Amino acid sequence: MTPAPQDRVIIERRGIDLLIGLLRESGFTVLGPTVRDGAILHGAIDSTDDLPVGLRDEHGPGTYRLYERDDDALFGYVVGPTSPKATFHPAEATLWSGTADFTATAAAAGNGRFAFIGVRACELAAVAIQDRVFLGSGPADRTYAENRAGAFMVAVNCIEPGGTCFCTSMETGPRATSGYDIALTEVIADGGHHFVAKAGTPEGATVLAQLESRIATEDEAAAADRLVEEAAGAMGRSLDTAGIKEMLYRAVESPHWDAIAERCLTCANCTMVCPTCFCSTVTDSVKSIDRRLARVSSGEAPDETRSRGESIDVTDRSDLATQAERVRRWDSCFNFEFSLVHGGPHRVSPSSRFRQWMTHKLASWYDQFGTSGCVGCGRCITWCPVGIDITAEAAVFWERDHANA
Amino acid sequence: MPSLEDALASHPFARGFSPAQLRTLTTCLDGETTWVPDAFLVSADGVADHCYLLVEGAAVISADSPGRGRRSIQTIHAGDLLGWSWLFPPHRWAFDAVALTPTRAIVLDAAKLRGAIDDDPAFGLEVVRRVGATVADRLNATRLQLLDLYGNRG
Amino acid sequence: METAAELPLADPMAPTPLMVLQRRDETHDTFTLSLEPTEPFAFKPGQFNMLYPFGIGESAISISGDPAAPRRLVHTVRQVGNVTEALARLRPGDLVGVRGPFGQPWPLDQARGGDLLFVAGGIGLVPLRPAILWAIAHRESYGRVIVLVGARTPGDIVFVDEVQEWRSHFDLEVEVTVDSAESSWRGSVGVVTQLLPAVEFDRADVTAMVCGPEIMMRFTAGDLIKRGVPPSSIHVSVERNMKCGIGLCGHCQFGPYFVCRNGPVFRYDLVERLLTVKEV
Repeated sequence: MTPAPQDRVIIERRGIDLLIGLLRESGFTVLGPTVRDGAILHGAIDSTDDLPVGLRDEHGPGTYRLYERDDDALFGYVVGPTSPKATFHPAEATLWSGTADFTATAAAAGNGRFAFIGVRACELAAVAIQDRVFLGSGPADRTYAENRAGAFMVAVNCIEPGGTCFCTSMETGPRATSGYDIALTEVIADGGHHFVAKAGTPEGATVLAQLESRIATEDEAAAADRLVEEAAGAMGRSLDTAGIKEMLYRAVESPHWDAIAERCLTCANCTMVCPTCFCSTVTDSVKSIDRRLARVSSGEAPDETRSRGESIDVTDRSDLATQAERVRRWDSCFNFEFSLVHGGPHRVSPSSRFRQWMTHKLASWYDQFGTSGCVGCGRCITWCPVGIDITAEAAVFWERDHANA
Repeated sequence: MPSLEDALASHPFARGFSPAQLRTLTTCLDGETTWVPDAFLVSADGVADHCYLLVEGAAVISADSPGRGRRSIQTIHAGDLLGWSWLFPPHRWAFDAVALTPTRAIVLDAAKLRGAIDDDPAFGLEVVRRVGATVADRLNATRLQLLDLYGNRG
Repeated sequence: METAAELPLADPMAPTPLMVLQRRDETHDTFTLSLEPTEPFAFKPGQFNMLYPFGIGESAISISGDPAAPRRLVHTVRQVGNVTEALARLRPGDLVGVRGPFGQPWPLDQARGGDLLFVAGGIGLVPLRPAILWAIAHRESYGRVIVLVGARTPGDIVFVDEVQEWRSHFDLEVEVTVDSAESSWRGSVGVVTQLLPAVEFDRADVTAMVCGPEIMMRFTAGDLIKRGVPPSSIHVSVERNMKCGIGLCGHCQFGPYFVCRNGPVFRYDLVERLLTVKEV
């Protein structure tokens, strides 16, 4: 019988392969976690074989490695250094290009729609946060809007917290509660291996209904729920967010920032792996285009010189057009020139730059966008080469704040 | 026509003195002086034997250096104290003060004023407080000028 | 492959080309560009545009023109780097890319009925000029209108002819001071805060608009507060690095504020603390 949209259903691994196939046939570029360079990175997914099957990731401050599980779980890990951010808000995007009379040259056609397999609840929360940044009040970001439109999200509820996770503190997981089309919970038990699936949108329900499935029993649904609840109770880290905005504002002149700065390399790793960091820089450059070559390669005009067997005289610069390009690239508040004003940066000391990052992430973001900027994914802790832990530093600030009160 | 004593009493420098202290101050009065534009109120290295309280006009503190000419440092106006070299040894003016407009000032005898300060510590405290406030105000202004805030570092 | 294409009008990161009609030197390092907008360019005093000399880069430049004359888009620029130096090389007939207007304006509407006190330090007179012109054009809406101008030397006074013209108005109080001068200068010498004691205004009903280097704005605001002007009646214009002008690149953050969207004009009570913290 066809499950109703609100039913939870059981699907097998081959059901997920079918799901991936259906999405690809519908024209989606399907992305998901893959193994590359000893890490779990987002890449193209053609089938479940491309997933990090049977692998687990070990996370710690400045520590990351993959190792083998003793089962064939498809989603037996948490997050890697990449996130959907790199797709919706790409590291490099051309915003505009044009000739010297400012005639714009057409932008490359969009990449179509994206589907993500295996997004975690914290990643969905991060996408929702970036939606507020790029599509909220004020001018919308065109690149983000184009990449984000029609995205299909297949989420996975975490059943084993990662070593640096603290999503429960940020109320972003481990269960995906919104922003997904289909949510899965992987259950490996009693010699069996299945997925409890649920639709989150009409589109998700439509796709789910095309997969081979049966309606989950109450016990099966309860077992899946229990796994996720246990994960929620097993977080290794926490961050006290009640009043944290005001507390960090009070701490603006705390000497503790200098203490952290003794270790911070201002390498900007944390901002690159963070799924919500959005800062960018814009670079304008100019190049000369040889219009003859452009015409030949576009097939616009037959090239008599070519047919006569002669080559184009590259010293003849009479048909050059100057073309300018405006490119946006990821930037980081840790970069020295980020705050350049009047010939020098405004935030010179590493201390001030670390303070800017942490205060923005955990405090100012509330004033700017109405939520915290942090989803508790732990990436900044894992990929900090010196192992600075945002939850540990927040705890120190809390302690000092209580002592000052 | 207000008397010189009235003019002294209503000058900002005298604000807040007790009646007795005001009388002491008045004993140091030594008339008033006027200057035409470009006249020197005081000259650098000149003996600072008078304390001038401007009541009308404007003057500019300036310095003359060989090769660079005369440069203006700061303008003072009616209601201002001219300087403080009369109070501190060696009692010699550090800079020139040149009238920009017709200028008039109340004159106090510096030796008498210094004597009154020595004789009456409470009176002396009030005088030195006011001089200190002027020095602080001029120093802060000078520091801001020194920062050359409007300069182009590009 | 190159093809000419129409960009959607709403793309806020694409520059609109406008032609330079006139170029004038103001001081040795400051110049004014007068551009011809394709349609009347409405803006509010205090706002800025991102100007783009082709291929070089963008710079946030205050609009310095008369808001009542939207058929001319005027900017006054100080040469401080390669973008502004490229703008300095523009001549009548050249095109320049424009994006804007951006930012929060001076609170001229809310100030109606009270006194206006403009305090400009150096190049700070540029974003104040449109506000001063507005006040002059709507003189009956305000009480006293006072303009205090500080500059490095007499030769560095921006819009010097116009400042002299303002001085000639019977219903404007205009005072000018310079940080240093030859003795031939008969005007005031000293920082602009030194002009405050001599001007009268209703401290309970005045809107002070202060623009210049940050230290100058802090000292001016401090002196006004000492005089009894509420910090919420004082407004300053803050400058930070800008790459987009639309609150998306993150560079202009100043505490929780985006200078391009929540500023550059800020009510002083909201930023007083931020201005005292180093490197915030």
